[in-house]
Amino acid sequence: MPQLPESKQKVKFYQTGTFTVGNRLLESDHRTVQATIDRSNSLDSGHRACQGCGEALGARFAIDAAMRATNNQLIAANATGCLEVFTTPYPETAWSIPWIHSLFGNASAVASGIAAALKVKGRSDVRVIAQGGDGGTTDIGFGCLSGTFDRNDDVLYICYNNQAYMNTGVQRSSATPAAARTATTQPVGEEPGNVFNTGKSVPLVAIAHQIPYVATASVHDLHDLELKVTKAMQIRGARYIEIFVPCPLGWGSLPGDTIKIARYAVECGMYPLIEGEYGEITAVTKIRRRVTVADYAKLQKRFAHVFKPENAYQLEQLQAIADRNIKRFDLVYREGDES
Amino acid sequence: MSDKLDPGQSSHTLSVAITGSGGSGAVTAGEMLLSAVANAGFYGLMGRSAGPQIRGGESAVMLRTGVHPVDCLDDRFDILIALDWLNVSRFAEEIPLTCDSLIICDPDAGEIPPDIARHGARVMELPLEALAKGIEGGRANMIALGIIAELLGIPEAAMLAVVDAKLARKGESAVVPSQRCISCGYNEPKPQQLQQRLPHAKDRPVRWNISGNEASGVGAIRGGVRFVAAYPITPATEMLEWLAPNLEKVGGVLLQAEDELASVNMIIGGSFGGVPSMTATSGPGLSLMMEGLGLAVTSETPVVVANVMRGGPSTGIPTKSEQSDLNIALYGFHGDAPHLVLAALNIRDCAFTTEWAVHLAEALQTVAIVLSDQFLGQARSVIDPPPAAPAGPGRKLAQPAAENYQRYTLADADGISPMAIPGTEGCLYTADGLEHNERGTPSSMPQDHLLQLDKRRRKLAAVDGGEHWAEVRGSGDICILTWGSSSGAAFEAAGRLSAMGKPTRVVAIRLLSPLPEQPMRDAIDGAARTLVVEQNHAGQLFHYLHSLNLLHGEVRKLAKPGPLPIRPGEIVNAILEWI
Repeated sequence: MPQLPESKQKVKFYQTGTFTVGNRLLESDHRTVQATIDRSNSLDSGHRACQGCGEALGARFAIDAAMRATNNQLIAANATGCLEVFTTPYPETAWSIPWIHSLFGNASAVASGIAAALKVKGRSDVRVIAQGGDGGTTDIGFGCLSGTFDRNDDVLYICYNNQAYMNTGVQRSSATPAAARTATTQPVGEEPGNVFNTGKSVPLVAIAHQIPYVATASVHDLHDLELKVTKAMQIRGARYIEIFVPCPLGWGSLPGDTIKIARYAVECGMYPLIEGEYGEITAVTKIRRRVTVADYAKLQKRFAHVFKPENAYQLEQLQAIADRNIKRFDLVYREGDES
Repeated sequence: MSDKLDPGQSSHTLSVAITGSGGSGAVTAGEMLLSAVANAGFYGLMGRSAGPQIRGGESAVMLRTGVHPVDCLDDRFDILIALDWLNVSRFAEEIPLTCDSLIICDPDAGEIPPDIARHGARVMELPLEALAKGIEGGRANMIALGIIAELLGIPEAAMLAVVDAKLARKGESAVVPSQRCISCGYNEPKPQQLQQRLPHAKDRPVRWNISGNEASGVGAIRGGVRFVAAYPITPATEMLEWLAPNLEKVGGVLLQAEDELASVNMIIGGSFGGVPSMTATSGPGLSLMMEGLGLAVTSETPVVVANVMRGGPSTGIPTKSEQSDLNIALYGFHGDAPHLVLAALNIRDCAFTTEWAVHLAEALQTVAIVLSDQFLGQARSVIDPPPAAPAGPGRKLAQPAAENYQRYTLADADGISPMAIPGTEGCLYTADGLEHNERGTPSSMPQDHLLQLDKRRRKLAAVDGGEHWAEVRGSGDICILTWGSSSGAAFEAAGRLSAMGKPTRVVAIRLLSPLPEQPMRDAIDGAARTLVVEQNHAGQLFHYLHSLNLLHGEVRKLAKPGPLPIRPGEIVNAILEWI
């Protein structure tokens, strides 16, 4: 097992309350990639993501961190989806790295091929990333992804999870949470929204493949996101990072609430931040200030129906899911925990 | 359906384009205008154009209205109203203007971009934004709507009624400002007018305001489909979104699959279980489905695939139209795999053709691929209620306790053998993608292979296209051969040519495979010049018809790839240059 670097982060940003400021509190080499003039701007300005798009933010931080970690020797394969669509049409072409659109379900396979080619050419200095949304990852791309894991191909797969097919108009994916409304889940009836307890956790599935590194991250804590990407790029073999990226359009939330929603998702226990190595969960991000699922859900119209008195049981069921996560991953901070 | 050509369709219609950046309300205005057109007793067709963005960005609405059914966009627009000029150049090619056209714009929006101005169209500057600001809660798109509706000759009452119907749910605070804006647009003095207005519509029969994707859904339900499995894909997604609630009303089910491999195999399972089943997709999805469709052909499990074509290959141009999936629909299978290919000729025909395809697939126990395209699928049209397709005999089912049941028996001359739904007493068999004998037992014996290939071919040879295999209109020694959404432009072109004293006929093919050869020969008999018109690069129909050795005399093709639609004037010009 390779030696993994220790976390470089010395100052924890829960103290500031927002998680997003605070570069100035850090030593210069601990600041985010975005704080340096040497940043690669791999996903450049001028693309046409919606206001408040969590995916655009997550992708920029993730890819720039990966660029720094690989000394700018990076190739990306990108599945069909919002990220592909809003970053590519002329004149909004925003990528400044070698980049290939891989169709919808094949990003990890194309990336595996690139990694194999680099092996043939003896270019171990050049690294490969595959990326896609939750539809391209958890549904149509799931088979190829499992193959990449199984062969332990030298690919980092990043899934930007906004919990539905946003590009085609907000249809349900297998990452859509319970009770959430989409264009193809029940708008009315006894159980509106997506059915309960059918979610597919690809991070846990990835851990079950016993690959070297798996992590979840969220766009409210971009230092944590960068650290996980950086760590992943220091490891050889198949790696998987899933980033929680709120979607104002699909979730019916305010663009200005993207960061807040991302934070509440983690702090209520609906989206646990975990790391896993070789089949074991090795770290979790503790919740210091716990919020309720209601706090999280009320910012999003996709959950509006759970606040109707007759659907109160749905809110309780959602809270039960969060409570189960908290218990399962031991998420709540206690005095003396390493945070 | 009429076999007459309308010689002067263009002169009976008016065309309007509304453009604006994201959030300007161009699409809302267009949808309301189409509803008002319907309310006032006219026909209409409204296409939309947008880039491949998720939200926002510029969009253009292209609407054509008249006293006869409208099945294609015209060669030019009578009115272009710009809510602003942001990025309008992206649509410049889609909105052809002439010096008779009228551009309506707000002087405060800045100069007219050069690629719009170059046509030399008349310009009428009206202060859209300022007028809207004068009304509490007013918006420029509603002012524009009032201006256009008045110029076209739509009664104000019909326009205001639409606002009531569309916005009533949002309450008076939404209705009143919009109605005031529209009335303001009606009353605003207009220094310029159109050369003609719509005549008074005599009566208002029941009509439908529907998109092609919705119409395909109607056809599927009418045909008896009760199980649909599908995976979101532009531009077919609306079909599954429409079918999800509407199937439920008739006791059916829609299931969203995790990919196209799953959706096609789900419908094979659904049909094997005895329920008429369908999926909806577009080119990339159809490509993924081909293996499953081969299983359906070999196991003789009826399924219908509604394929809404978009620019290809690969991801291509998802939001724009092209008729380039004919080849994959005809030839995409490996092995010899006889099956049905049909194409809807217009939005109204999406209902008829899809329904017919379900009947044919069920009767013949095979695959039917129904082609429409992004234009038909996502455009809306005011149509007369679509006619029902000829009912088929339905699926030939095995009788319980049949003696010595053979699923793939060769006993029937037409090749159609009784299918046992699982649970049918005494009718156990192996349903297999492997080649099999009459009992269904896998077999690699040459004789079994040959006999079953013959059987599956024989079923298809027995298809009776009746009078529905094509729409044949007009007469004359000039012949336009076409299919799918190009048919509207072809009919209109033939009408104009005939009016010019150059009699032209059109054969618009609905049943592409198996193509009824004798009716086809009869339909093109005596044609001295034949022009094959289709919206793709290779001339896929042209080559298909040649491969069947059906074309004689002088033959040319007008094959133009998407995304620009084939306009009637292009066809007229191609013929005039030729003769």
